[in-house]
Amino acid sequence: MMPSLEVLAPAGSFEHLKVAIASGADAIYIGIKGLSARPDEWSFDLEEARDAISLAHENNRRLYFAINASIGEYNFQNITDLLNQIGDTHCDALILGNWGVIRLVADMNLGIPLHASTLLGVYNVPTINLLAEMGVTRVVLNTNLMIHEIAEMTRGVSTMEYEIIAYGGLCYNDNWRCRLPHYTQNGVYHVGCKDSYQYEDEQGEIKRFTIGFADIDLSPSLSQYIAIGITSFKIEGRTRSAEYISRSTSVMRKAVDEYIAFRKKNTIRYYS
Amino acid sequence: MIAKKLLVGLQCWTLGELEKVLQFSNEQVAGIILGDPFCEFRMFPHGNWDLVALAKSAKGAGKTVVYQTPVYLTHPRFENTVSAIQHLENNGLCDWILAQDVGLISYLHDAAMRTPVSWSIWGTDRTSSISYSYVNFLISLGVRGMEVVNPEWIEPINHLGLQVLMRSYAPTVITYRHKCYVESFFNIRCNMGDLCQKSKFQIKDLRRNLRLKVNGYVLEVDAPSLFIQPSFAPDWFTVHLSDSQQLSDFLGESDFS
Repeated sequence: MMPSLEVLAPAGSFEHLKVAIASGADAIYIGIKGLSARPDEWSFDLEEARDAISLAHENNRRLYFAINASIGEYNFQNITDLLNQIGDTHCDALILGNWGVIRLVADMNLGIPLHASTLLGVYNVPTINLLAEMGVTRVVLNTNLMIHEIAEMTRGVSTMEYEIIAYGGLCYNDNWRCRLPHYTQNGVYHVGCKDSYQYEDEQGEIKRFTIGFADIDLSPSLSQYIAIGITSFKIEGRTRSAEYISRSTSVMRKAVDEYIAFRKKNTIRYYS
Repeated sequence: MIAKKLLVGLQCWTLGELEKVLQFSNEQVAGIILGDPFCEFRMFPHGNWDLVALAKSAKGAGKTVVYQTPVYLTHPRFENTVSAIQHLENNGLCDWILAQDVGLISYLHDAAMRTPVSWSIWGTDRTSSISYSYVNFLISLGVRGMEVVNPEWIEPINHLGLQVLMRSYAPTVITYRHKCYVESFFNIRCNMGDLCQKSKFQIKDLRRNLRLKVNGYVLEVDAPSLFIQPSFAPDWFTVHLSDSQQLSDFLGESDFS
């Protein structure tokens, strides 16, 4: 049976949202100001988020809220206040990155699908089972997992939905606990692992490198990820340009559509 | 004077190093932490084969033994870790498990394992933020202790019924990853820890003039560690040192003696 596949695009502004919709995203994710892992200039306040939902739903798209900032007791009340207001927004999912928040949301029974962020650090089947018990319906897989490690999990809990970051910047360090600086300079968002580092080898030669990696594009190899149970392909880049969002969403849209067309054409038919 | 119970982790444990550590009284060193968060061969010359021998020797000398589980518990490492825990427990070789994987603590709770579990500092985010909801969630999974870096949380966590381990002295970790940095830099595959000998170089962040020490799977700030002395005593202090000589120096300069 053909799985229901999703191209999930980022939006750091209304312009991004419109571009993502026009470029063929099935769903879009946005951050909520003060509670998102990205700076507020690329997030939406609650009223803006409501408008974003209206626009998305008018175009038959889904909209997800990312509430994945670092959460401690100092800002937990903000989360609670937000969640009390969020029930009637009709957003299509909450992306959560903190175990305390998931526990809170599970108890509140908001009726909104819950997605487990990469920031939770999901590495094995028992963790996924626990998330399922707490009402989570999708796991966003960590960016530092090998494909065989992903397959162990998707095979172990096949009733869960799985999402991977398929285009854009990938964090190969532990993105939840990395203390390399993440900052905005001249309107551009920088991550510390992409900065230039220097190393002197035993011969005294100076070598320069970054400890991050180049952006990825999994569009040529979607079929192997679909084969192991991935159904949502996320594009990284709420802080990127509208042109990037347009390009990346178009690439992933084309790749998913080509896969679907190929499957339809090559479906094995059994005759009795 | 605050009564202190000190748990010591060394970067590399051998029987020789352990013998030196066991020379210290329980008032100086109450226990040891065995288990590398990333690579068994970084800590043990023979991998986890050494774990049991070291634990047995330490228990025989009356020390508390804490087993630190790996950070990245994908399969089959998850199963191997559970096996190690079961073996340590069945043979009375471990007093605490220090874990940071929710799946693991959930599994141990469901399996009614007797060894108490403490939530490790590796399980908190980059800001080490804690909320009561988070702590209560861990308690619901059977956690009976929590390791913290922020002394302000010692008393609140104690009041919730948990023992508190205060991570008081350790290298400052900037970042870490699932794959060894040394393997990445040299683009070769490590053979059971042989690259650890090459893992003694530094890199420099040109933008911020920040020196980082490459230590296997971890990048550390290349600066001396600072001892955090809280005003409210935790149940345990945890310190992470490179070797037994650094432990002797540490004890000589602190008031654990």
